[in-house]
Amino acid sequence: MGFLWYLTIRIGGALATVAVGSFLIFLIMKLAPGDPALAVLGESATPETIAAYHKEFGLDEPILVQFGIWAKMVLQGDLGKSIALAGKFPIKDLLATRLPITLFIGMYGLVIAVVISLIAGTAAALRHGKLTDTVATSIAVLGISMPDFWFSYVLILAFALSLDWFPSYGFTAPGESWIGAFHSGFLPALAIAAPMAGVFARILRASLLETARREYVTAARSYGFAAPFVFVHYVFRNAVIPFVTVLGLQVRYLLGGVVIIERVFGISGMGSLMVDAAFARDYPVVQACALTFLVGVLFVNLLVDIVCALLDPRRTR
Amino acid sequence: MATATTFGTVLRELRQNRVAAVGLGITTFVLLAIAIGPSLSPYDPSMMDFTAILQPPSWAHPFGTNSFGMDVLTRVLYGARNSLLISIVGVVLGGGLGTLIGMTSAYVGRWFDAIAMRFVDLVFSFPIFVLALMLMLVLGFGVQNVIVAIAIVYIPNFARLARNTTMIVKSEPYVQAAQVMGQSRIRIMVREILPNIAAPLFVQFTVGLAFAIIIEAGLSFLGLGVQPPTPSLGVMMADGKDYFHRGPWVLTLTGLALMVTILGLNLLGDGLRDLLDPRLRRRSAA
Amino acid sequence: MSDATLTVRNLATGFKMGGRVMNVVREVNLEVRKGEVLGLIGESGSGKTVTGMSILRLLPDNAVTEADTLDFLGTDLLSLSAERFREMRGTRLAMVFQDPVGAFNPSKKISWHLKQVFERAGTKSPEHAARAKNWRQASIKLLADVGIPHGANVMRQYPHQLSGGMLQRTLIALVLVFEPDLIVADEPTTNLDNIVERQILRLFRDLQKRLDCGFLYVTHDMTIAAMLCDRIAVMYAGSIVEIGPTKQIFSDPKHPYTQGLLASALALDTKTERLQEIPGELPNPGNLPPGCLFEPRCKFAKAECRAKPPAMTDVGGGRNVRCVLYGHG
Repeated sequence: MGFLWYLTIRIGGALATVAVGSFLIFLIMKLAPGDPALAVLGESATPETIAAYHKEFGLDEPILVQFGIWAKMVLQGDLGKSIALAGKFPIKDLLATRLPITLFIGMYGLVIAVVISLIAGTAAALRHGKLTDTVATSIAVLGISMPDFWFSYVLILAFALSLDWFPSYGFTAPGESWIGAFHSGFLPALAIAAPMAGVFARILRASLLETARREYVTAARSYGFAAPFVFVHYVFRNAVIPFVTVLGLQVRYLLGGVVIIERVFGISGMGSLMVDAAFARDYPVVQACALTFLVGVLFVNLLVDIVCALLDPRRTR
Repeated sequence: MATATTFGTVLRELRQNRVAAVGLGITTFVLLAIAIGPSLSPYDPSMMDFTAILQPPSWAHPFGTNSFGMDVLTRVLYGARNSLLISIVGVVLGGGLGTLIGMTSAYVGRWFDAIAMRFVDLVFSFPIFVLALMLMLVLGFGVQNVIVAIAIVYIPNFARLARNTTMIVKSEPYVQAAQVMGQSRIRIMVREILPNIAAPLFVQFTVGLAFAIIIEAGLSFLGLGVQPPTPSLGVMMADGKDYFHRGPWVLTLTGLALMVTILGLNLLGDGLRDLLDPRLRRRSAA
Repeated sequence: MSDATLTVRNLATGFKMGGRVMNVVREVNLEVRKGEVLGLIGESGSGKTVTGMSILRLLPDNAVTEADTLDFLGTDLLSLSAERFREMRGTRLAMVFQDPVGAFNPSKKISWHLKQVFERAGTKSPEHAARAKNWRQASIKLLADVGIPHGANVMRQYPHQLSGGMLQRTLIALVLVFEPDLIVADEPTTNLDNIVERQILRLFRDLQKRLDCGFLYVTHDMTIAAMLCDRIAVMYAGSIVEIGPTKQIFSDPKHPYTQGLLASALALDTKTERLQEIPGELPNPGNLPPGCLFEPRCKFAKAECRAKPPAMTDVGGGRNVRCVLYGHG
């Protein structure tokens, strides 16, 4: 099986999941109570105007036809208009300002989590059974036992309110100032990173220990290769594959965390947009947000699959 | 019979496994605290005391008081009761349905398996809070709906686990023997397969419960879940964030109690995983 | 005696388990001479693999090895520091593994393995260093020597793309790179089918002749031992019970265990490692019988066998047997 063939299959699978997933989102939003016509037209709506609205937007058509209309719009780059949250603002423009912010916070958190876990997981595995291992694994299990929004407040209490090193609220978008973005985004990113770092570090440690027992590691030692060489090229190189796989699986937790963390720190990203829209019962916005999150998860999973395929010749060659 | 003896051995080994022992200790402590703690407390969880508003932690109020002068520790004990109950019901519901789907999937195979597993993949592609948020819009805010949301989040986890373990057990000689003897599929699934996949499912339940508590707290914290004045850990933390600058202990200590509970369950799950099923790899961590 | 590549006197290896050491191998005495193949024969669990691995210090960290003598061409292997021992590997000491598929780094191509081993061997002598510079051509030649004519193609492959037989040939080529003085091979043909097994065994014979080195060949298979080995040491429950030239052992096995081993080897398919012919099981290393370890399964067992472990007895012709039937040492 060639690499291109593997890639094609993966992309095809992801696209199919987007299609079915967007239908699921559409269906859930249809099940939600309340008539969108009422939401748009407000209290002054008459049965006639409601009927006219239904006709205009195809709301009296069968559900599959309605989905078809929506899907066609989305494919043409039109996500519809907000009905309650932001006047009749096009959702596309709303996302254009919000998405980069969430991407920034998410990537920032992911990088922090990966760096912490690489150090902690490797240290724990190298010092297996020793004090370093115990300390690292204990901190890791504490990390995965922490609700990230609670940890946000602990961080705010310590580093914003007491030490005043970072702002406790608000976020400077990278568009305005990169330094400001890294500075004001540090606490939220760290809060998102903490539980993930715990999960990653545990996986990496387990994977390193497991790989170190393989026969090819003994074989490498039998050639008299230096210990650091064996660790880097035999142990770490092969242990990193399950690590990257788990990284991909965790993206949905990462984005789930973003939803709450953005509220805590008052960051106007996708997460707070979706929560605000949910409270305002702005269904089109919720729908668009859910679709964006779905595409985001699938895109990252696709990237991870590709990286894994490049790392692990057994997958594709 | 065989399961009873293994359970006895497991309990004995549990005390020897350091991680599991600590986890069991913490979990027992938490369960005892929320079971008998409230009756030992001199305060009523909804008793307001306007002479003692936002008191920092003290001997009289170890966790301090909130903006209504209510004792936070007492409310934490009551709130944890609700949080735990909601999470247990949610995970049991999701776990039961998921196990049913997973076992059927492995046993019936073919089109059912294909559809069920594609569905599992699909649900796995949604961030948990995004999924929960959409569900809350449909179902409305409140206790029952948090339960349903947790259940739906956990159906795929258990379905996949039950499917994979059933696949392994299915080819064991005793299951094949039962098939040859002409026992019905349902009987084989209940009598032969279920007891043999129970161990990993139980581990998943323990670890799943830990994360379900986080989901409950998160949804209630956002105002989408349990509604005040019903106390739950998430509701209390949402309340505490409103006056976090004046009384940080309300949110911080409530969350600490939450973390200790989850920590106990996670450690217990880790220990059980090592004891019960070494074949079960740490793939489904978190 | 002077041509001994490896001399082992009173070797014992155990594993630390919860504070105490569980001995798996004890009182092992053997000698691997230059240009000879010594077969180390035994059932699985007899300690033959542990013996081989402990000589090369390749056991996990919880292993403890002790010996009165562990001499490799005049070097006391026991007193070497970890770093000095590492320098012996990949230059003068070699190991060939049981599972050729598992012995390669799955993420790296065959060429990478060859290159690394060539570079490692380059520290051995100026000739090796010169060859390491031209490792690509040298690799293709070596691969041809081990029966892989299209070496350039094979070098482009990943390990999982090659068959077990090809990988074992490549593994032998890797050993040829640095021309060791001692090779320890641990059942290197167990995972191969019969035809390939024969080819690989022939290759081992050639390899050993070409290098004129000492060769310790660990196996459970008597027919392989008969084909390949100059001398045989039979292991049972962590001790050597009989040692001597292959021909004599096959024509006239002394120890009751060796007799059983030969009887079963002639009888059945050689891939099963358990002995059906001799009733009973290997004793548990944590709970050894007080006297002769084989006594519980031995049809000649008598009272004195239970009293104390028998010593090695020289029965002449370069043969030693650990059994009261042949005197008390």
